Amino acid sequence: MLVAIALILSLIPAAAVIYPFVRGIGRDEFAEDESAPMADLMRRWNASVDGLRSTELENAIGNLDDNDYRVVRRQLMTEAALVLKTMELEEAEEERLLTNVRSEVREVRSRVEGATEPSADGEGTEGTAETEEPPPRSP
Amino acid sequence: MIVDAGQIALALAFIVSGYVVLASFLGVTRRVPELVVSGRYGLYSVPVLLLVATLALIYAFVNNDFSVKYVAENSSLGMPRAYVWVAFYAGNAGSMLFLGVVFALMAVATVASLRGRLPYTAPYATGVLAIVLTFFLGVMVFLANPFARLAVVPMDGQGINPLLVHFGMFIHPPVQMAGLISVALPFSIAIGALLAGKGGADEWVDLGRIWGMISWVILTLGLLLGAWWAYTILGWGGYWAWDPVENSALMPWLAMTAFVHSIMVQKRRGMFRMWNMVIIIIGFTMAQLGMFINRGGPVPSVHSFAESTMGWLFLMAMAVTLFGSVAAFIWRLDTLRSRGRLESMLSRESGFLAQNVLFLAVAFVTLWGTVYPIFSEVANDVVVTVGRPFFDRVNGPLLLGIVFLMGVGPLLPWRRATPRGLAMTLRIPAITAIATGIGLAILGVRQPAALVAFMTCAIVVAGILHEWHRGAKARRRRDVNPVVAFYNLLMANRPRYGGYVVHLSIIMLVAGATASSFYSTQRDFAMSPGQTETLGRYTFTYTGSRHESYSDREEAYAQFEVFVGDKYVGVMEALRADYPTFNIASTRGAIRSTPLEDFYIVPSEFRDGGEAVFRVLINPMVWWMWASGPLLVLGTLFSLTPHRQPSLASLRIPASAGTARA
Repeated sequence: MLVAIALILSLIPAAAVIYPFVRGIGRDEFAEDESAPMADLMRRWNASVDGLRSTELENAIGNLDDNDYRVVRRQLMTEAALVLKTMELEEAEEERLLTNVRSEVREVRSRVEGATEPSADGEGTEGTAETEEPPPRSP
Repeated sequence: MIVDAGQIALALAFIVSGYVVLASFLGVTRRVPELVVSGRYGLYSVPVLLLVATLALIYAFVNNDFSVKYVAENSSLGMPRAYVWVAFYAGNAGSMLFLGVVFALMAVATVASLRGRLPYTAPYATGVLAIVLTFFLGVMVFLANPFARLAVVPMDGQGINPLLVHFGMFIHPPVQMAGLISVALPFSIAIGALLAGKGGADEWVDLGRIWGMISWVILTLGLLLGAWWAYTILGWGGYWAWDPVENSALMPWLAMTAFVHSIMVQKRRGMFRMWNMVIIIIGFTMAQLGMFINRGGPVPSVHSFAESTMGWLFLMAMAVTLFGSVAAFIWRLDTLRSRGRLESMLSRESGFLAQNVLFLAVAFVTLWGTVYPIFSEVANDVVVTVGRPFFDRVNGPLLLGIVFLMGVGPLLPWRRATPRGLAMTLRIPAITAIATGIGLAILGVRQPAALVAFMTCAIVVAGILHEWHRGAKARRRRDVNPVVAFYNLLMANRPRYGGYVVHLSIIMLVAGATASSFYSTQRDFAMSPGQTETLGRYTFTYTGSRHESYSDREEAYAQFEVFVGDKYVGVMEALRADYPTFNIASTRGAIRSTPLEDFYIVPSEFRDGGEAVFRVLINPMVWWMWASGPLLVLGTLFSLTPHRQPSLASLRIPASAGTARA
């Protein structure tokens, strides 16, 4: 009886620890990085917005005089603008890298296909591949 | 058989918990995501196993299974059945099981909150949490097994410690133990971030703050409930004695209070990154020290229950944790440079820093006073205990400084303030404080320390109320209805206004503690039935006593008719119970509590011939201390409720517009 109890109880953790291997769960576990530039920028954005909000409140209730309010507000607006601009640059850079990678892949593919499967009229599959990709966006 | 099932579940929980440590660290360092998830799921299964073990032990208690050593030591046939739950954690092994199951549940909640938001930190934090859990489970499996059997089964058990037979025991010890162990939650997130190399961009701050506040509120409630229990049952009319066990719960609370404040600076300004790591390490070290002192540490204490010889094991665990944390801190020191800098000494950041220093100063003074008996014994071979006068004299002014900063700090804006602006802001609180001082002096409050303390409290209250008023007034430009304006003000900045509610509750606590410390009246009366005495404005007649016998105790109830002036206020009944087996007497004071003062009678001795000796006290404003608890929880919950930020999408101009943004 004790053995049966032990077996039944063991099934709970055993199922829990084996399940991810059986179902292959967790492949995208590290897909997002909390230290990625965009995540960091998002935190800085939130801090700036919080800062602006509380600075406005401090000024409205009289804890911060108008001169200091202007200085602090300018600092926070600059920080927020900087964060937004950096985010855009990040996105543009990401897009540019992605486009480069795509065109390199296309190039390699056409080179490989051209080498292994030369067509009689000299046309490869490059034209077809090109139509699948969106036109690159200027940064 | 059910007890055996509990034993098996406990052993399995230990094995699985050890697996979680390995799977989490190996999975993240070798980048094997399935292993990381396996470790996490393994952790999720531990509370299930521990709940099976818990139910098995409760089953043994309910069925008076005295073959189980722990049940025989902590239960008896005469014990009130309702106290089975208290008996469950009254001893060392049971309290370890309780700690284990509570910690496992909290660890699961923490890891679930980390998953997805901090994917690289989460496995390390899971590993750290699992190390703590494995330690507790290992102690239970190898050294303090709650399911250990007795070779000879006794007919009856020893019973529960009489001092634990009190309603407060259903809440205070669980909350206190949960509070101490909960410090491991923000600690594991911080150390997880350090180990993952993710401490440099404030990644862990949001969740560290949330779990830090949860831990803080549990610790606070544990302290308050402990004070309430001491006040109502220990029969000395007080609630705080600077006893080592009380101090051991206070020290992590002080460190955590510093942490939940300074983490806000990191969140807002990217500053204090190293400082916050240091504070959370200190906080967890002090929590471990608390567990060490609770479990048979070498310091003499009135809290003798749950004592064991395992204290030194906890001390070793503390030393290892401290060494490991400091090593991780030094290893990642270069990632912990601040993003912002202190722009002015007159700013909220500076206020937080000063308050942090004071909190840690009180914590270290308390630590020194607590461990001094050990040093005195080692150095001079004489145990010199440090008493209340030392703590009151040294910590009193420091705590007053903290209360003062609690009033001034929130009125300082972030980044910078001008002396003129600060003077303008402090005008109303300062006037209120002076008026309070004059008013109280006229009413007879003449002790300088008490006057200063009440005036400082007035600064805090006036500062908060004045700011609420000004805030609501400012909002009325948008919201015509003042109630709506005030509501919208609170909802717009919940951490800030929730924090103010908590500050108000702390002021209730401080005011109660000040009034009862400086203006308590106490006298002992030897009274015969029918005799009438007077203390202050109270007149009370001892009408007699009744005695009841139980298998484990003799209870004596003393009845009084009480008048305030000429007004009859009712009958009060005080209890004294003698437990011959334990050679302990437990008392329960008769307390008439009002917001103004408590009238408190506790029986000291029942003599032959009907005469009895009573200690009678008038404790001003103690009611406010107990009333502060619910307000404190409310404020903390309010400050933890999330609020939405404006979405970035709504602020961005579409790329097609082709214009510069921001």
